[in-house]
Amino acid sequence: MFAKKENKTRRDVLDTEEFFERVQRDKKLLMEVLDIFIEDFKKKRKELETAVSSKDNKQMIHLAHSLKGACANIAAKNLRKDCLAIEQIGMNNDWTHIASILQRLDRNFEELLVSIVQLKNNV
Amino acid sequence: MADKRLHWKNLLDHLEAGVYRSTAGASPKFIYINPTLRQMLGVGPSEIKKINVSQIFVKQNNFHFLYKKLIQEGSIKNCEVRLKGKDKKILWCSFAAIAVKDKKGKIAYVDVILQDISLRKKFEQHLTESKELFQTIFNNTAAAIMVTDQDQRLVAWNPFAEKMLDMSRDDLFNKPVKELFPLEQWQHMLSPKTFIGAVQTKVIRKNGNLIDVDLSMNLLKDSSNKIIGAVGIMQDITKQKRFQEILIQSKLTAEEANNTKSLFLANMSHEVRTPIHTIKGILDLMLTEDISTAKKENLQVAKEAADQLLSLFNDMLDLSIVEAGKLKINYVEFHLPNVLETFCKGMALLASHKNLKFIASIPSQIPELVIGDPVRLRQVLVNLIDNAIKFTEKGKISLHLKIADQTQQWISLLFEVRDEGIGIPQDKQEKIFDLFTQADDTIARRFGGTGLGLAIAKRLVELMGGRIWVESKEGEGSNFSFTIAFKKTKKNGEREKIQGLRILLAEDNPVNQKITAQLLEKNGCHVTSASNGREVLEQLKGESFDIILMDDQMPELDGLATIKMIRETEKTTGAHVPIIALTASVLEEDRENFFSAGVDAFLPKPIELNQLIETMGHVCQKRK
Repeated sequence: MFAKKENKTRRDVLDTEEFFERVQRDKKLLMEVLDIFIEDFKKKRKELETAVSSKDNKQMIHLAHSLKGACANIAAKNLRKDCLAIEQIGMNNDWTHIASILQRLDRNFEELLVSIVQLKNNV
Repeated sequence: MADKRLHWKNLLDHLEAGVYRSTAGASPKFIYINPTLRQMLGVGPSEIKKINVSQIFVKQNNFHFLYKKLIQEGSIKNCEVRLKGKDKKILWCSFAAIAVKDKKGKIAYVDVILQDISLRKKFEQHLTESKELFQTIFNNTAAAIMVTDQDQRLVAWNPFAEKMLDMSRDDLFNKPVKELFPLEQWQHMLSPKTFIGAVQTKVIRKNGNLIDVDLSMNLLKDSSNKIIGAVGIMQDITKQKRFQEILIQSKLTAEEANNTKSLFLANMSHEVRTPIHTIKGILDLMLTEDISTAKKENLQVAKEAADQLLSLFNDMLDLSIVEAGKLKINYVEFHLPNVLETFCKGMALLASHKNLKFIASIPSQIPELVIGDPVRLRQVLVNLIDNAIKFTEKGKISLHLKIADQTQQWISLLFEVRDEGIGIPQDKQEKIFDLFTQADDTIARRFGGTGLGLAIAKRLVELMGGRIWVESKEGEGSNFSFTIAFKKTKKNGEREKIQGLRILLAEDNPVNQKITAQLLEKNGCHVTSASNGREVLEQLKGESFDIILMDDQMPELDGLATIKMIRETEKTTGAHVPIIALTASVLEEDRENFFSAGVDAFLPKPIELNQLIETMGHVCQKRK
């Protein structure tokens, strides 16, 4: 039971099988996409910080939407949920929980990085 | 009178039986002997006059006995005698005689008829011998033989039957045969298929205990083909059965123990791999830090050791999963040339580290899309090519692919991995696919490895419906061949439709852009990427495209606005570039907006490649 739960949690961080399928089991492409993702995420995360501090609603929605799409593509499920939550904050214009969601986003990104390193080693 | 005599003589001369007339007394002489008897005895007319009648008998006592009887009774019939025949052959003859008396009542002469019955005697002898043989077998055979009449009642059986059933003659005689069997078994035997022939069943002994028997039955028929009964032969197999059960139980127990062991190994290997991954990850991170060369070298050694350990555990994990029967072949549709191309690039790099050439030839007749397990295929190839590189010091390694066989639904491909390495001695070639076996005991020390790789490869190939074998000459190299059966897919046709299409991909997110562009390129499209609507419009000014893939949310100019502008421009040119909108939105309203703006198709994100290819093919067909 515990093993199943653990697997589910791992798959929520990064569903490697789904990602593999999406890139048609092309390892080279997988590696390249992961590198692009990390770089793009770090860049957009900084822009998101700026958008949040300046309460730039439109930009925040755009960034969260873009990141959400990238997360869906690499099957990073937890991180995708965080991006969706931020996108909804922007759409509803209710900023109450933005700080805690951003914290969760960073934590989930760190967890994802560990999974990415493991995946790269396995590949 | 003379005529009458001539008539009788004529008759006797042509009779098929032997006839003679002799004088009476203890040493009678022949008076008349017909040609048939002369022929039977092999004597001429002159010789016959010289001999006594008693001399033609094998035992003269017999003759004297018969003569005495004849005197007493006047005639004899139904006697059998043996005569000395032609070429010293003994003739069995039936003997009938009559004593002819004179007027005084004294015996004047004796008339005898002899019929050759040698053939009949021979048959009788055979019959007796057969009966004796049958009786010996019947009485001494170590199987119960039982005969029933047409009412299925026991009428005969051998001593072993009494012993096997622990029943006496009284118990068995006239017993309905069905009472020997448990009801269920009897009903089973009555079915037309099993009644005649062999069947394993149970019979009831006198004390009520059941014993297992092998029973074979046959019907008995008379000369008019009427069934007059049946014969059954039973062998007690109770001990065999019990032994068999013990064996099966032992086998099951052993298999269970083996499975438990394999599962334990699988779990343990799995648990061990996780910390090794962490160690490797940390070592990787440390190697990126700014540290001294000496420390880096140490870390590199540690990392290599971790890699080796991981590879060993991976092998163990795979093997234990296969052995436990837990490995399932994951059938997915995949692009075979792409998988092989990526794989071969990696292998070529590995080979180049040893200055070896790596050549791969994949014929064009091989279907691009197949259904199989690309992960396991790669694993088998890695095992073989890794070995080829390991055991080759100079020269080349090659991978050849051929179609071995195909039906409408399946295709069997033959993969050949050739090297120019040390080769494998003839006597080791069969064993190298066994567990923990290498061609030479020193190999593990010289080249490393666990001896598990080929055993795993063999099991994987067999699971994928193929076989693996090797041809090799010591010092010249080895040729490992294996076949794998793949299921064919109908989608190859759809992929052909999009070959060579010029695609303009509008997508601002670099991750999505990379994946979509790369996969389309691999499927034969030429892809130009744009990051926003403005770039799309710029591209369209200088170049024409077969399809535009348009993301909805893009900076500067979004997808919807861009589509509207394109369609507006097309009103003046009369052209129409098919546009497929890509969006994560699931709202019907958004779909309607896109369609009214003039898109040809709509696809949800994240993009599923097969769906995209299908939609692209469909859109192109419609345009044509």
